[in-house]
Parts: sequence; C-alpha cells; structure tokens
Amino acid sequence: MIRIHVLEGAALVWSAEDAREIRERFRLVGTLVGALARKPRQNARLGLPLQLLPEEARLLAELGAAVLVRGTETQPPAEGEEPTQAAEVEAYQRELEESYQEQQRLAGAERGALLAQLAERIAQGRARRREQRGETPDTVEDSGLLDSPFVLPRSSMMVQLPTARQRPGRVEQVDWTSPSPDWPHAGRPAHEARYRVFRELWGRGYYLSGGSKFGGDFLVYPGDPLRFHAHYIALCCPPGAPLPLRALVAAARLGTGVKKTLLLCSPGTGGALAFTSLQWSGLQ
Amino acid sequence: ARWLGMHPYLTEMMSLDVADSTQVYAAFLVYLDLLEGKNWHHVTCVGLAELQLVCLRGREREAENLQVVVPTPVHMSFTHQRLREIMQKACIPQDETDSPLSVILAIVESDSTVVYYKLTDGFIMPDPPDDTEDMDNKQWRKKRRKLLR
Repeated sequence: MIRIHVLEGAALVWSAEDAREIRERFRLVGTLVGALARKPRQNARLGLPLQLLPEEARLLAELGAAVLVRGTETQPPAEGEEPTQAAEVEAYQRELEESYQEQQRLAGAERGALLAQLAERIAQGRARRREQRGETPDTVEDSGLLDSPFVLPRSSMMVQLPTARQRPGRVEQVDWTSPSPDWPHAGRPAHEARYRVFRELWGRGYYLSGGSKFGGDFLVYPGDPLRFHAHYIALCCPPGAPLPLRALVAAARLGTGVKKTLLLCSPGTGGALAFTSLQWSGLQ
Repeated sequence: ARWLGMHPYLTEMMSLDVADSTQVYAAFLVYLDLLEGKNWHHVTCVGLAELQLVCLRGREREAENLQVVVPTPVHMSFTHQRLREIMQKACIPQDETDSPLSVILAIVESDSTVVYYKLTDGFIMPDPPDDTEDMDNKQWRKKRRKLLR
C-alpha cells in the first residue's frame, strides 16, 4: 500500500519504491521537490519527496492503491523513551566503527595491490635517483616501502547518509473524503471540477502534469513526459463561468507559441465532459 | 465614419435583425477583412436568430471547403457552454461525416483589429515541432505549412 504523507494540503511520497510504482504502474508523474543528498545546492535535479497534485493523490486513494497519512510526532520523546534512544545511539556508533575498520582494511589492501603493480617502476625510479646522488644501489631498502603501516584517516572515511527513515515514524490515516487541515481539498468545487477532468483525461491513457508554467490547469502528454512534449494545455472551465475573450486570446496565443493546443474542458450534458480545442487559425 | 454606415452590405446585415448593432458591426468589419484583407474567394452572411448572432460563411480559395466564421466584439463574454452551442448551431455539416464540428472565432478589437482563432470539438493535436535541419530550408518550411493545413 502506497503511503502518501499529507501536510497542509500537499501530498508527499517519501519512499523511492512507492514513487517508482506510482509512475510505472499508475502513469502518474508528480514532481520531485527535495534536495539531493549528494548535490544539495542546486535545483536542476531534485530528489525525494515526490509531491503529487491533489488530483493524483485522490486518484490513488480512490483506486485503493494508497492511503493518506499524517505524522503525529509533534511532542519530544517522553521520559520512558530516553533509554531506547541511548541504545540506538550506541548501536549507530558501533556500526560506524565497524564500517571504518572495514574501509581501512579494504583501502589498505587496495593500496598494497597498487604498490605491488608499480613496484618495478618505483624501484627503477629510486635506483636512478641514487645514481644521480652518487650512492651505491641498495636493493634491501626498496622492499621496505610495502611494510609501512597504512592508516586510513578518519576524515577520509565514507559515511552513509540514509535517505529513508531508519525506523517508521508514527502516523495516522487521513480520510480523503472529508476536509481536514492537512487535506482541505475534499468537497471544494474547484477541486471537484479539476478532478473530474483529470480523471477523464487519465482514463483516456494520457500522462498529466501541472499546467501552471503555461497558464493552464494541466499539461496533457501522449506518453511519459521524459519522452514526449505535451500536446495540450488543459483549462478547466466551470460550465457557467464567463471566459473573457482577451484571456482566451492570451491563452491560445501562448499555446500556439509553444506548439500546444489549448483544450477547454468542462462538464457537459448527461455527466459526460466536453472538450474544445482552440488553435490559431493560421489566417495570414 | 458616415460613409461606412451607408455601406449596402452593412445595411443588409442590419436588416437580418437578429443581433445587436455592435455584433453586426463587428461582423461587417470581419466581412471586409476576409474579402479585402485576406482575399477570400467568397463570403456571405447568415443570421442565426437562436444565437442572436450574424455569422459569415466563406471559402478561402475556390477549391476549398466552406468555413464558418463567428465575429464578436472583444467585450462580449462567452461561457464554454455557449461556445459549444454556437459550434453546434452555426456549423455546416460537412460531406465527410467524421470531420469534427469547427468554427473560426473572429475577435474584433475597438481599433478594428481582428484576430482569428479556430475552435474544434474534441482533441486536435498541435503541429509537430520542426526538425532543426529543415528550419534552414525556406522552401521546405513553406511546403510543410501548406501540407499541414
């Protein structure tokens, strides 16, 4: 069961396996919004958590593939919890020490192998230097190089930073059908309208993502966004809402400029959805 | 301009008595633009009483299909519902029944500029992006634009 953590209306997935399943099995893309542990000070490539649109989270919940949860650890650990923490700290230090010893052993072995490989060249270099200095070559000294004890400096040690929590935090399930502080979308007319359109487009096999970069509600792709450009900018129009013509022209012109069709979407008659494509006419 | 108000075609459109004067005037400006500005082969006006609009029908070139143009002053507001109603009622059923309902919305600004946008029922894929190599070839780009129309 996929766990979606909700926080003030945002839906976050912290597990890499869940994020992968969401994309591969459910054709939902989301956006990575976290800093990458190895490359923190840039935002060209981001990491977990994966943030889902409210519509994406709801779809997964509706399909029964995910549960919405919220964290409940708002208090610092109680009195009785201190001993377990101390035990965990001790275990962690022990693990670190074991890792260090292992790394030292491996580094030492690697160094030894490298020196053995280069032994001949090192000997030649030393002999040449002795000749230059006018000393007699001494072969006994050459082998001393391999006996010097190797110590891996603590500062060179590699340390693993876990990108998943070591032990699961306390969470409680959130009912996605009724509004709450962490999941306020349920029942809101704007959300319900957007969700209807989202579900319909997803049901037709498209990949969808947020459309705010292009002034729309969703971007509609014929395949995975990593492989395709979006074909449509979807705009959800409530049936009775007036569309100012200037706004329509602006949206349509933007669409033409970025080679996408503007798609007006609204609930039609009899529960079906109506879609209208808007394109520049091309009249010169 | 007074002479414009006496143009016989404008009087003809007014006499249809289906829409208010701003919409009729917009329709007249689009009529002139299509015939004189865009050199359309043939343009006539049609009054749609149900929709309270004067629409235009015409052909870009002699051999092409009849298209429906819906003129509107920029301040008029539409709901998506109304746009679809217009598409259903103004459209000409084409011979090939699988071609979707489509109209051209002609939006007229207060300074008489007209912008034309095509509305079609359903999902119409955008033109594919041009291959970077072909961008250098002017002839190819011209041909391609004609082909994709």
